[in-house]
Amino acid sequence: MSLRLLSSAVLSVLVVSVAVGETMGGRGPLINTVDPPALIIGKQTTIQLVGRNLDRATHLLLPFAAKVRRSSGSVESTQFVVTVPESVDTGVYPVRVYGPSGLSNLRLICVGRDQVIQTRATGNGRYRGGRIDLASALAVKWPCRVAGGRLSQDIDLFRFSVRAGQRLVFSTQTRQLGLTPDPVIRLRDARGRTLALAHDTPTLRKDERLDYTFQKAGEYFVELQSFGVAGWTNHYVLKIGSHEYARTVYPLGGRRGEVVDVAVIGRDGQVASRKVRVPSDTARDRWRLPLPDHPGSLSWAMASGSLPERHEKRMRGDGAVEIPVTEWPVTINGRIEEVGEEDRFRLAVQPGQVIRAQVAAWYLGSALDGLLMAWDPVSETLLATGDDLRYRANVDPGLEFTVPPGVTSVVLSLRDTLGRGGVTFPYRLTIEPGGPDFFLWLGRRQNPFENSGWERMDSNDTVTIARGGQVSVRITARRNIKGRKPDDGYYKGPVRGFDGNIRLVASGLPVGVTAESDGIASGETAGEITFRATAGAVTLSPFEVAVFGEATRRDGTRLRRVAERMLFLSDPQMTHMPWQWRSQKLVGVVVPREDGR
Amino acid sequence: MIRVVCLVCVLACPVVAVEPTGAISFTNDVMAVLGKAGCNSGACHGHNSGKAGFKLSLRGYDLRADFAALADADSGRVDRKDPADSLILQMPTAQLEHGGGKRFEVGSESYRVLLEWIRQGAKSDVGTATKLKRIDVHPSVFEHVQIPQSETLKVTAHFEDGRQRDVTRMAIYEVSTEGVVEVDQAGRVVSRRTGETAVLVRFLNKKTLSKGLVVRRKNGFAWAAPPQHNFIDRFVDDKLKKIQVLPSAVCTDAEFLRRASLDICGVPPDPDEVVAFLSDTSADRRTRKIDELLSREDYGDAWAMRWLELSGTNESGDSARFKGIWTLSLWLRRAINTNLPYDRLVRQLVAGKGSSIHNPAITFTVNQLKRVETVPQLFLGIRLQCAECHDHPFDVWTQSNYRSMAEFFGHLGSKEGPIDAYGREIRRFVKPESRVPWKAGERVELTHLDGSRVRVPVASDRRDALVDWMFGPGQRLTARAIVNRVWGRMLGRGIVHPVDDMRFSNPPINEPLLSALADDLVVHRWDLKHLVRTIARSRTYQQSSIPNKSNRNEHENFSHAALRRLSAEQLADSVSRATGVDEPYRVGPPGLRAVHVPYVAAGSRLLRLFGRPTERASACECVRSPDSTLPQVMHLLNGEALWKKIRAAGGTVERLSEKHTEAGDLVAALYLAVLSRPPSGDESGTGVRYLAASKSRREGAEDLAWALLNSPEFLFNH
Repeated sequence: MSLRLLSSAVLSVLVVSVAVGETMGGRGPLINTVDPPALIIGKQTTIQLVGRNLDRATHLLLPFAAKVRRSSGSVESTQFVVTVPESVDTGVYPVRVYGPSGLSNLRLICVGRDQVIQTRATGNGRYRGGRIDLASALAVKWPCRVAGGRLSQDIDLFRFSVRAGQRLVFSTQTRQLGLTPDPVIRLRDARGRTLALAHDTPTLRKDERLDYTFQKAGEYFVELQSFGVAGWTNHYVLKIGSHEYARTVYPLGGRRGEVVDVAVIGRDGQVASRKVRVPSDTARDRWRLPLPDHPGSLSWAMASGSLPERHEKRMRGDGAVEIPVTEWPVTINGRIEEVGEEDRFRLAVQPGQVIRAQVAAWYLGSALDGLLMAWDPVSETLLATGDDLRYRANVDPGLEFTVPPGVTSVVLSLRDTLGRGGVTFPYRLTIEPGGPDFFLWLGRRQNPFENSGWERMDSNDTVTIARGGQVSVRITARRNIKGRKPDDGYYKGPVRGFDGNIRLVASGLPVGVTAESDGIASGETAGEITFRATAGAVTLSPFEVAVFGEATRRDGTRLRRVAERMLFLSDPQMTHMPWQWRSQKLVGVVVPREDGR
Repeated sequence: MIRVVCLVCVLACPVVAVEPTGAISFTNDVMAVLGKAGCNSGACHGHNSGKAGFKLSLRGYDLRADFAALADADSGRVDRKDPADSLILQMPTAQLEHGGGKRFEVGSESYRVLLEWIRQGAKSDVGTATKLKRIDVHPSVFEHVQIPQSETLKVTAHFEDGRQRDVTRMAIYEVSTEGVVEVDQAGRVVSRRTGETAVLVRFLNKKTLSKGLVVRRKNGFAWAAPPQHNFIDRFVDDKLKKIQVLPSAVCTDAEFLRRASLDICGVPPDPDEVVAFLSDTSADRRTRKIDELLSREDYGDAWAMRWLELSGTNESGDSARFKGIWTLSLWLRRAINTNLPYDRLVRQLVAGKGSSIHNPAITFTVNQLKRVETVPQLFLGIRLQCAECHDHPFDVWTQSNYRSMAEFFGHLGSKEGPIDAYGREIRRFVKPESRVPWKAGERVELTHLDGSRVRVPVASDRRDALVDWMFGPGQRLTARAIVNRVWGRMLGRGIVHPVDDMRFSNPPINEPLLSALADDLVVHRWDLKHLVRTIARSRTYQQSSIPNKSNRNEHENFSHAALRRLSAEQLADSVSRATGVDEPYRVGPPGLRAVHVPYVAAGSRLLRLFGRPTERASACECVRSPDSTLPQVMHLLNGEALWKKIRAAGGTVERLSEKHTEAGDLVAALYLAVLSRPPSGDESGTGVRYLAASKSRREGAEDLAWALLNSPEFLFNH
């Protein structure tokens, strides 16, 4: 009896430990780097993946149909030869590997038409005696994408030629690919003198773009350096060419399932309009807009919502200072057009109503650092300001307030905190009823500085189930109840305060996979959802599952929130992964049992 | 007519010495006694925690507190029934044991003032007493042509009600330059050596100066009329004539090239450059070289480093962190190299808007130093720190000035930017509470350091008003401060020295020169390259460091070039250039210059030893000491680091040893590489003989390079 109990315990540990972030008990594949992190449309490219447990990672998972062949593989690295079809748009795409040992973490790869020059081993570029050594530069022919690395303690230097009047765009694709360098692009003339310098290009989030017109024909140099430090992903892609690129888009999203007319504003301000249907997937509130006419840019992050959409421009009558908002909930698309501009919306309200307003801008590539305020225009009383000004991650402000007695209209105002404005300052402002609320995280919160903490979080959005087995996935609730220690001290926004039961349900399960959960009890901040694969479940066929938390407020309002993968400020790997890739679905795979069945 | 009225006023208001017979004022008489006796000085009861349980405000800036400490019923220091038994009389006269010793005699004027005040009831007149308007000293300027020579200063107090009083005996005297003159407590000045000084005269809360020049007249002195390259030389010569000192001759071309290269670009010239310059016989070769040096990126690199250091910004704690420092460094280098006018440079640094990664100038004030103190010190040469706690003891600044200055910065909010693991983005803005529409019409009144006032909207950035004032018409504080700082950097000593202590009691050594330079900068629209160029073109800058018989004891009036030890960065870069081996730094790619590494923790022992601050805790130029120390000497003489560089494969010595087969050529090449000049005939002969006597030519060359690298000529900017 005791032997049977012991065996059961061991078995349960083995089975249950195959959980999110711990694929196959740590034996699942893990990708650290993809080299080069670039594929060429219509051509064959060999990419090398370096990481751990890659010997059984037999398949490459891409979101488009491509011709893929595995050319070699070992525990620490594997190679795939990929041919991208002509139908694929320029952009950034997710890449994972999977096989009998499970499914890997997410890495990103850019796809484009320009040649890829790999320089990681060449060591071109150096300083001597404080002067740039121009003789050490690597000659390149543009258009091209240079895939290099090890910038933290080094520089890379490239030589190129132009004719008089040539306009070239130098842009890095690092943070867009979740890579760690924080580049500085410096353009030098043939004597080594600095012509132009680019760092922290607005709206590119630490990727850089230097747009330069050369007055004289001749030989020039582009130098790349990084502010950042090392790490697995300390490499980069530098794109050189005369490409058109997108400075911004408007609007920044739309209502699920509807067609929106998106204006893409190019490098010289020219506008190209496109009609695009917003994806109707309710598990996701974001999608990516391909920019085929702007090959200098990767795809643009867009939002999808469930509320009616309106446009600030069309709502204005006679240039009114305050725009009346008679119908809400609503999502208003607008733009802070001028320096110092403030957009004001006057809402008809009733005393006692709880109103929530949330801006989405910075996270969607806008330059806006929003300052959102709500006031009672009659008594001239400030009701709420939508930003904790000391909080660094909460750039897009949100606020929530209860309408005071006797107040029937309030003004919501939005401006740039720094008083800026212009075409690159679009926003979405969602106004809806507020109340107690919560967020859900996929996986366990890890200390990234503990052993393998990074890796565990890197795999938080994957689930690997052995055929006939089960896996429990931890789901963490962020409730931020007033008066208690905050679940997340960084978050200062309005989504908080729900203390009731949360039911956990899965959506999109493939045939042969089931899920069940006891939910997250009132007062608790974590629960589990268990996935089971039947003996007949299809193996090695990746699937996506959304996990929703459903709850009911005391006033009967129903809440449905999707669980997302968490990101940590202090985690180098995750920090540099663009927020748009914070998965809102688990990616799973059923694998054969150890005995091969 | 005005002169007649003034004369009538003077006659109508006779100057009267204090006599303790009438009503004694606590504010004007008792406090004068306490000040004169030193009771409220920092070393005595004016100390932050007082002495022996008795605390006075430092130099009497808080009269109410002083009255309470002295005469409150429970203080026990005043005996109104038997005034002579009062502690405040018995302690300073040493009738009772007093840690501060005897401060005045029983029956002295000070004693009688205090005694009479107590007899009259020891009452306070704080707030009601006639205010002291100003004090005058006569003579305000004196010149002694013999040593010793004496004269007595006379100090007159002017009160708001028109009364004047001779306060010579109650005034306090301090000299700015030790040793030139001595002043006793009665105001008698005796000259002791040649030089210049200022006597600071204090009475109550007012101060004035008597500036003195002591010159021993030389019989037969004849002015040699040296060439004057520009207006600088005219003002310097005027002063030199006055003090009967002849300037040194103009330095050699090699000296000029090395000096100008180090001062303007922070690095010595390359050997090829030296050869080319020395073979240039054109009359304007120095002028052209100055322009060329100013056009190099090295210029901005070198000057940006000092600004960065003085900003107090560093890579740790609450400061800017790595990226903030790096971007600020890049910004400063570019701003200086593109010759951003100084008024715009300062506006960006002091009143920069937006986000620090997009506008790195903001990072300048994102540090652990107080902006209310660093901005006046860096850009006006005013040290306001003292006035945070009490009125400045040696300057005119009060606590009120300090608080007024703080108002220019107090309205700002700031927050960190979005996710940034390696940098620190600071976003600075006017607080949103000021931005609501019903506050749109409100204005706030601000007071500048000169007492002028400005009214600005509450929603505006008050720093703009501050910078407007700093660069306003007729305002010369800012221009004087920057020309003095640049002058000090290029000449080794400021016209006001220290360069960032332009205090009332520390007057310039050559006021006309300072004024002219400041005016010239303003006329040329704050063009810093113009300022550097003007100074470098002057004969004064190009004088030899070798003194003549006339000026060998003169070190303040720029009669000869000052010997200056190379700064840590200049030395590191000079060693790298001379040896052909780069100094390794902890961060950044290999091969950078020391001034390219903006971090405090550069990871270089050489930089640390030679004075690169290990923390940036002050905006004071004094964070770097120009002194030489034993560890510095040992590092160069015995240190392995230098020796390894000399012997390095691919280094200068190996390269030159292989290139030059003739010993004379090798010696000449080593001199050019290390000292930026060819050897003299004797030096060449000595070098050749040494090489011949060495075990191998290579070893001999290494020894010679080592000796040159340890020579004063290499270690100093001469």
